[in-house]
Amino acid sequence: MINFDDEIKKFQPSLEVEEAEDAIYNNDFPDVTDIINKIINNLSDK
Amino acid sequence: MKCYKCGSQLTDENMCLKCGADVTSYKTVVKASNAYYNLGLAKAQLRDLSGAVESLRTSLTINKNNIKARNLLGLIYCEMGDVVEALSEWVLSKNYKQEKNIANSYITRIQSNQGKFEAVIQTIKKYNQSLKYAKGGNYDMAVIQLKKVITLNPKFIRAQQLLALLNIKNKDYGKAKKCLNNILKIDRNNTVALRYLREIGLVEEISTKDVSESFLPKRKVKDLNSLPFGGSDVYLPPTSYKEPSNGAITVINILVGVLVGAALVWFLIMPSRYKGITNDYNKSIVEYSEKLSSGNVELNSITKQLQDVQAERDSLTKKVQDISGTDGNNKLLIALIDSANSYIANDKTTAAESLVNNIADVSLLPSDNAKALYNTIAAATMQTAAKDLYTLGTTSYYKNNFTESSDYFARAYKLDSTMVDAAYYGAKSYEKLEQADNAKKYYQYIVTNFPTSRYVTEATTYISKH
Repeated sequence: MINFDDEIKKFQPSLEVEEAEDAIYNNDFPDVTDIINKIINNLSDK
Repeated sequence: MKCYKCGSQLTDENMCLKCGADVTSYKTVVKASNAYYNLGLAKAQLRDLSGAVESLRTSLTINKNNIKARNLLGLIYCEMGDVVEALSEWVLSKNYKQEKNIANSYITRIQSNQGKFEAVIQTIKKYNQSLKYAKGGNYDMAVIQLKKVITLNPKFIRAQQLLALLNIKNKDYGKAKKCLNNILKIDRNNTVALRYLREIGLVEEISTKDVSESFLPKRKVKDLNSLPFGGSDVYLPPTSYKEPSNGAITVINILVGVLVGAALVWFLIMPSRYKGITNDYNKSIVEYSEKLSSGNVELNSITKQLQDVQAERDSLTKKVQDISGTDGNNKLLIALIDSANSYIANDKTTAAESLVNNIADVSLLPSDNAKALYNTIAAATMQTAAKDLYTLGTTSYYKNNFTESSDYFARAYKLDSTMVDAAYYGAKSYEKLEQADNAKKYYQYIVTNFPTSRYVTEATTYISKH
């Protein structure tokens, strides 16, 4: 049976317009391409 | 595919022909990202939006520069009601690739319909508020808000999910199913919706089983999933209640209904109606009272103005009478004419006294000609008349007729105020008549107007004694 208290915890607020700017600026995380480039650059430096 | 270092177009070779960079691993990564994009696209085309989001997120985790994946992710977010997240993805996409990017078109379309965008933003805020209510235990408020949100934005999956959960909590499985079916129309494999439906099915199965195992007769249970749900449908669960078929009971029920309706009208609607009428009546009274007060104030003001005008009129009338009546300028002119007649008749005393007694100041005469006439008569008569009167007074004085002498001397002094002897003998005549006040008056003339006169000492002594 569904446990309401557990389920309600899974719900997260939807992104509002005021928060969009922060979300866009904070999105600059490295992807796999960045990681591989970094590894290749490190190897070529050695 | 472009080189990650110099941005030039790559060929089938595993190195960049322009900068010489080894692109073997890079190509593998980009291909993996594209594969996930293709998977996401396939899921999106089958309306498996949740699955598509997962695949596209993986694609972007591998290669954040995958513009197509990012644009599609934004589109799916938009479809699921998360407009701000969609915009965020499109803005990022535009940032990575500014030209020939469909994200520009999406952003422009959103911006061009500002009213709709604002409405959607409001639904997001209301959803967040509802979530707070729900987490705070204020479930009724949450349900009310969520219903509004869904009316405005039926594709908002998060809101539908939350409303479904709250309906499940309230054991309102019909409404919950309606929300979940709405979700599945948008996102066919929405795991949350499917799980909730399964749980509802289990609950209903247990319930049905309980009923079927009881001693009650079995009844048909309709499949709720097969029911069509419209925008304003309210699902009523099956019930064992059956309407009685007896006609008499129906008539009685109708009569009872009519009576209850009449009672409701009488006790609930009529008082409020009467109250409304009374309020209107009181309002009218207040308005009329205000108008009456205003009218009274205006009336008082007008009355005062009328009184002022009447007073002014009386004043002006009096002035006109003073000027034009026998007591005004006419009086002066009449006196002047009388004087002139007396002068012509050679009665200088009467002429002079007419001027002195009736015309106090020559400047009061209304015309220059009248003033000139006055001066002519005065110059010709005053001193002569004064001397004549003085002579008559002296005669009477020596005859001890002090009554006549006082009169002559007083008239002589009036005509010629330089005649100190007339003043002196006037005072003496009154002294003889024992009229001290009149005597003092003429002695005072001597003291004031003739300080070097030989009569001053006697005058001063008499004044000091009386």
